[in-house]
Amino acid sequence: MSTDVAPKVSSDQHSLKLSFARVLKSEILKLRTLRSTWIMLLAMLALFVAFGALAALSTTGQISDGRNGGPQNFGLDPVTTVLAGASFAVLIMSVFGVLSGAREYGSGMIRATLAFVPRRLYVLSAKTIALMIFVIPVALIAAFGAFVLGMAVLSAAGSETVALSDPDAQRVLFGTAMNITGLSIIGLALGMAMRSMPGAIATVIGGVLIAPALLTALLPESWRPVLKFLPSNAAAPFTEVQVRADMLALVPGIIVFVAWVILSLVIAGFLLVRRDA
Amino acid sequence: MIEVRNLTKRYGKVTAVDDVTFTVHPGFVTGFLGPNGAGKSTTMRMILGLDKPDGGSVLVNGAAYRSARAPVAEIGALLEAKGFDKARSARNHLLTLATTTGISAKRVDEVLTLVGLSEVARSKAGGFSLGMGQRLGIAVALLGDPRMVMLDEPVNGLDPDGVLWIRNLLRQLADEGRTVFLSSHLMTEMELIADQLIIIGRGKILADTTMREFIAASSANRVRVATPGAAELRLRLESRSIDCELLDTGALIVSGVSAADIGQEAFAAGIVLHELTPLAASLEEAFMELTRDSVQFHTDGAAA
Repeated sequence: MSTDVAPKVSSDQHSLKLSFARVLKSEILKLRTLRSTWIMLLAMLALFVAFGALAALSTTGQISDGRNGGPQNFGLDPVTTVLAGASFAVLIMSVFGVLSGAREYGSGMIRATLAFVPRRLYVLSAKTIALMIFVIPVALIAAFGAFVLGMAVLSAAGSETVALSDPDAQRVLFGTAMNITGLSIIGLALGMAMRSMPGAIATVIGGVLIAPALLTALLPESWRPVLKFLPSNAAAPFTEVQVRADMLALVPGIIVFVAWVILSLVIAGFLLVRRDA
Repeated sequence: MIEVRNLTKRYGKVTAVDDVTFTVHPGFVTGFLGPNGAGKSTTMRMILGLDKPDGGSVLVNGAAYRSARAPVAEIGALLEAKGFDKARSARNHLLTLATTTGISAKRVDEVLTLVGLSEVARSKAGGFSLGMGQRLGIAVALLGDPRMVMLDEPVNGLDPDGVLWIRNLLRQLADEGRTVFLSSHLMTEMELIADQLIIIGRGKILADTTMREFIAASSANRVRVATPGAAELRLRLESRSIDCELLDTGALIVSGVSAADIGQEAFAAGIVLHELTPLAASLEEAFMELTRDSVQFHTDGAAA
């Protein structure tokens, strides 16, 4: 190893300035320079599309004949069928969000980050926007990819299909991408707030994804007016083809869902600013 | 310049940093010395605003660290050797941090060369040894070409070559007029690097002095005298209120006067001297003496 000593002050000293745009660039670079980012985005894309195609194949009886006990059409509409992989995508991207939030706490890098960027809300906001920059395009590509490929499979088998121009299809495709993105942000916020990957992963999967569905299934009907406000239920009006009477309408659903995302960020921001790093 | 005023930090009932006041001046290497758990790292984290003080304040060149235009151009800090993501390369680690403040990729490469990591700059930092991790941490500290460098236990894990390198580096930074502030729990290390010395124990400042004064005070002009006339010499010295101690071996330990004075006194009285040896007290001993209470406290297991 070299044992040279420091050169005299470098010339770019004067141009140094901390700015939000630069912190955002830094957070994008952080995600870009981790292989796990690309692996998770690819896994999401692949699983979403592959399961859509698989569901389409199986619906059309191309994998297993209905007479042999295989699923025949699932009793589902075509859009729901081709988006069968959406739940995988939600799962992977909420874990991806947790990783981008909690990872620096695991390594201790967060203290270097906050020493460089003492304005801590810059860090949280930049992490959130950087995450969205990565998740939104891939989620949209995955949703539309699954739709196009799945419909092609259905059409080839002569099954009923839905066109991309169908308003319900568009609502569900954009809604699914929004659901994926929103849950990845909730994952990020939980990761920042809990500073631990296992804890935050357990919370986002157990608390945000599973618990609302479980509670909805188990609790009596009279709880529905309350349960429909839980994050995954609030997402129902824009992720499900069938509009359900016991769930929120589309616009209130979007508002409630976005409110959950913002609430998680506010809590993470509050804790980030208040606590010692 | 770093001005720490009445800084206090409590963790539950334990006061980790207790009303600490000191100033770190430019152009010197200032050592921040104390046993493990004395409050060194906590103080450094509060200087950067990573931990919030329960009382007191810190001024970095006259302002709060967080209000600086480019904070890392004010203080470059090394706080922990392993504070990087194992999956990222050394160069990318530095680039992500550099980007926040507009530090160029050129500077990143410059700093990598400076710390001797340019050959492994593109391999994953997860494979780094403790010493290489430490060098990467020092690279982070130097990125912003800062006016002040603050390093927590920088020689930890470095090989002898690395220790020598960092000594020269810190000396050069100080000679360039920068403020250099480093912590250690080893007096022997400080002795070789520091001009100024701030000793902390149990969260309190025990000494704030120059290295030279500390050495002078610690040696306290003790002289060992071997002489057949020990009893007589002792009487004569004690009559001048000079402190003497007669050891079992028959030697005298005389404090507070020089060897020359003692020789003069013995000569005047016609006492034969067999040995007249100035004793340089070990600084490590002086440091341990000074911090004994805090170490005691620490081994009781109550310190943070």
